Amino acid sequence: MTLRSTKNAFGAVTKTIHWVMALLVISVFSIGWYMDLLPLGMEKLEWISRHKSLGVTVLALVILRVIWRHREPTPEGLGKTRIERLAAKAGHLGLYLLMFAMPLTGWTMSSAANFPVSVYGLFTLPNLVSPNQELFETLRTVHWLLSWAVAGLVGVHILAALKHHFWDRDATLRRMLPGKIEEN
Amino acid sequence: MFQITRKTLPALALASTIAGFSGAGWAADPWVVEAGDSEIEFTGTQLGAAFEGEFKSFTAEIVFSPDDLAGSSVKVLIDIASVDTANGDRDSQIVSPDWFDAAQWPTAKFETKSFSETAPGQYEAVADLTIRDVTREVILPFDLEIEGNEAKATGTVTINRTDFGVGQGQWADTSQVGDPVTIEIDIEAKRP
Repeated sequence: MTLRSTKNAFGAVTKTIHWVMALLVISVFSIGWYMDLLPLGMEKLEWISRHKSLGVTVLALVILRVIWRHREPTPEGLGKTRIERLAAKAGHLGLYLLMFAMPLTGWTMSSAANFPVSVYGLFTLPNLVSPNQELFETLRTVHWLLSWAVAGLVGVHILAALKHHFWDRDATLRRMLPGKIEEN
Repeated sequence: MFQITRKTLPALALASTIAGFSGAGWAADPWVVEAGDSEIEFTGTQLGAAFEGEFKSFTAEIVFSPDDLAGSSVKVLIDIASVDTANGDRDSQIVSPDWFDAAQWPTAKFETKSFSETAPGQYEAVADLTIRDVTREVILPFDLEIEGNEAKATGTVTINRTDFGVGQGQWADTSQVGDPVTIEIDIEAKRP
């Protein structure tokens, strides 16, 4: 199995990170909304714990993903027009930025709320800022707004993949699917 | 010949009164806490992570002499509503009925029963700590420095919140809000 990507195919490492992160992002997002609706209680705190731990995992993985991406070729976009390929690049850049921005705003808002972040109960992250109620409220709003951006951009990402698969009938979706490495 | 006149009598009486109070070496001295330089802080855990807070308002009656531990005593009343964990939501939870129920039990009380010296400048206070309607004995080891008429005491004691009923109902579960709470005192006092 090829670990590294080529100009025409995604390697096993990138595919794995992609799908693990897809699962993580959907989980963190769903938990985030669910915990927000729960009344204050043990259950809410349990879900907040999971949300924070998974969020930190996203941050760790996106850092690995970016490092790995710079160390292997990136398969070229299969969009037919230049605009389409630019839009795809912009969308991917947006997803990367959000995968950093969500955990970082979450971590910072936890710090501002004097609610330090424990990662699976194994260790605690240092506070990024000192407690500050006003900053906490601002960051909470930013975190919430960005969650809508995640929903929107992930939606576009999925629709675009489906459009490539069913409309353009190219290898965009196929070459990212788990299993054998597929060249387009 | 020494003659006591009307004029010198009151002065003599005053002098002997002062001597009577301060001259007796075995009497423990009263101390006044310097509120601005004194802190009662605590560290709890929430969602597996430690956080710090403090009780900003408390009063203390301190009578203490290293050479008269038997005659020494400390009584501290802590105003629960003065809790500050740098998070307004959490602070309002802490005073609510499920936790300290400050409406019903507005103060926590720390009252010593005995002192012992464990090493030079180091002591242990055996005290009754009352939170809500629960009184339990705690042992507070503390370091004490006395310089002239100023004293500084620092000490740490860890208690379990559930021993005092802090965290009722579902909150008696300690998986998300940890049971041990470390209380740290940093008291500065002056001998008037």
